Amino acid sequence: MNQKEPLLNIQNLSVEFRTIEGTVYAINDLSYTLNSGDILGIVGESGSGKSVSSLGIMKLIPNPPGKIVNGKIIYEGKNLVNISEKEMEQIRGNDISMIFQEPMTSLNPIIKCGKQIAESLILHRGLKKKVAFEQAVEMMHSVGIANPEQRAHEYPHQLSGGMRQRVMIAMALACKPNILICDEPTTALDVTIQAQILDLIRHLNKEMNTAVIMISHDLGVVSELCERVIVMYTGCIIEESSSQELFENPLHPYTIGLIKAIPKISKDREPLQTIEGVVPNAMEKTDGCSFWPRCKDVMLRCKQELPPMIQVKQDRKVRCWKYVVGNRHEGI
Amino acid sequence: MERLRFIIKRFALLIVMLFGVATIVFVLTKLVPGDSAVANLSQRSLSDPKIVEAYKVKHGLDQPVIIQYFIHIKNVFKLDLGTSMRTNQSILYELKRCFPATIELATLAILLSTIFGIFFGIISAMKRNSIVDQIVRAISVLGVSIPSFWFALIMLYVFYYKLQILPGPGRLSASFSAPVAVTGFYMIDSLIEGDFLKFIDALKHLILPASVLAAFTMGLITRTTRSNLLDVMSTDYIRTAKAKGLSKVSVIVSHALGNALIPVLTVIGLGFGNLLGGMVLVETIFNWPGLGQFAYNSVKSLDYPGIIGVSLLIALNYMLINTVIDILYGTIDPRVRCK
Ligand SMILES: Nc1ncnc2c1ncn2[C@@H]1O[C@H](COP(=O)(O)OP(=O)(O)O)[C@@H](O)[C@H]1O
Ligand SMILES: [Mg+2]
Repeated sequence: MNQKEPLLNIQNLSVEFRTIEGTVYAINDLSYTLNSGDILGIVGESGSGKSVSSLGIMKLIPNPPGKIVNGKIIYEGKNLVNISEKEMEQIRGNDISMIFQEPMTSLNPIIKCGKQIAESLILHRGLKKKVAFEQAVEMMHSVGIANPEQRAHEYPHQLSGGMRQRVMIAMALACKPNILICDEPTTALDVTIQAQILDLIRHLNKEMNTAVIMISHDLGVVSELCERVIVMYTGCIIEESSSQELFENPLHPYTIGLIKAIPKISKDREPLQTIEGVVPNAMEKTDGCSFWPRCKDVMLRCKQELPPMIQVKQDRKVRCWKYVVGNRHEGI
Repeated sequence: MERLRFIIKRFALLIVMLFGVATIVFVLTKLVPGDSAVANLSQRSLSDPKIVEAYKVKHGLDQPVIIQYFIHIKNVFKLDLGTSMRTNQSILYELKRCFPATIELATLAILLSTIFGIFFGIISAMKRNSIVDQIVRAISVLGVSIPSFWFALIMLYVFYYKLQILPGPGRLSASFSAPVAVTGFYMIDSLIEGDFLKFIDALKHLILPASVLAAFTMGLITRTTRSNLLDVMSTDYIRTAKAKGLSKVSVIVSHALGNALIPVLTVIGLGFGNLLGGMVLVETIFNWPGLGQFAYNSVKSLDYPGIIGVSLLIALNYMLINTVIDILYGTIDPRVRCK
């Protein structure tokens, strides 16, 4: 498996937004790979660049002001950064699909749900309207929508949030894509609905062998679903690990803080731990590690030089000076 | 079923509103200072109290106001709008005579402004901030702010006097006689007569005044289309449509336009209502025997039945158009229907 070409290979991706107030460095030198059939988790506080990086894969970053300034996104031997808009249109919704955080606003309010799903099938599979609609109904059934024949004729406002997210999933999976990107798919939903949607995604991943990129600011969601996790901070990957190891033995001070900040249900109520300070402004580019102002273990070197990505062991990477062999603790 | 109930409800509301309008119009005419007898009787007749008395009896002006009001309401719903003090013809007859001329003109004007307004709006939004966008926006500002009488004179000067490619004021050239009135629309009546040349002549006479009238509404429609389309293009569901792999054109045509044009409907409706009220200045300059001219003459001679008739007709236009727009809203936007 490891020797095989990865399904998706992102190398040194950088994205900037040139706004009137200044340049926002949203993604800085992002690299990761996704193997077919995998579920990869991406976590990080809001503003850390999770959405922008996934929109980058879809080439849907609003432009202007956003622009991919550097890097490659290799999918099936093609660099998506360079290909034409026409070629990209054939990949979107067909090879790579995406579902979004806001199920309430992500569906077109004046088009029937069934028709919105059928549209992808008409576009990519060349199906006749009627056949596509029938397949859309089937698809709605397989994402667990009761009464799909009736629901398909309803408009989005007639459905609950959870139902709409199921419609979004049905729409994204209609053409059996190789990759499904889920950008915080459950953040706007109730906890019980959230669990159902995650179950559904896991089930569809097994059944259709669709690789999933699961984005969340919620470590709980990611730990439940993913084999491998990437932790992002200010547009950088700062740690990459298997999900289990990340929780048992987090390495980066930021990850340690994140895990401590998860509310636990226990008998004696410990006060919740938080990471002090705020996410820095993405308009300022520092020379050092962008986490140092909030870091408990900060060293002089952290302020001067960006730490490299360090391979700690097989499938375990961290971007922190603490783990550089021979690095002395130089104090603050 | 749901849709039918919605439509019936809208029409029931229409009748209630008509009642309200009839009341308001009556109150207004009573509040306006000025004696209609003075305005309508000659100096000699005025000096004879008997004639003045007879005039007042004839028009019910001797009754108590409250009685006048009930008579007024009853008559409105019987479509008996009284007799014009000015022309001695029934108001219904007068309105039937002049309203088709206005409808014909207003319809062409609203068609022109809708087609060009939406087209320019889309172009402008798609080529946002480009030179094309700048030009379209300048034209739409011009359209909204240019005084119609001035624009009308310029158009006449250029196309009639200088270039001589379009006819001057009036509905038909002198060489044609007015077609037999079936609908009152010259373009349709001339076709019914089978006189194609007359049809062309009627159309040519419509072009200048319709263009002048269209300018204002077109400016509004362009601006509304542009800004709504830009708003819609940045919504989440448009992002979803793009994520499906739809091309830019498909996204606009099948996902953005429907949503963006909903508010534009209101602008079109208001614009049409406005035009149907008869544009006094443009109708005067183009010697167009429409509602605007009739309204102007009625006001000038304090012809109460005339003023009331015109006001009711204009209000009815607005209400009918609003009802139609509401129903269209409900047809396009499923969320409106269930409210
Ligand atoms: N359209 C935009 N214009 C300017 N800056 C943007 C835009 N979209 C995102 N950003 C910036 O990019 C950074 C990453 O945002 P995002 O990917 O949405 O974060 P996340 O999804 O992790 O919460 C943020 O600093 C945000 O302000
Ligand atoms: Mg996000």
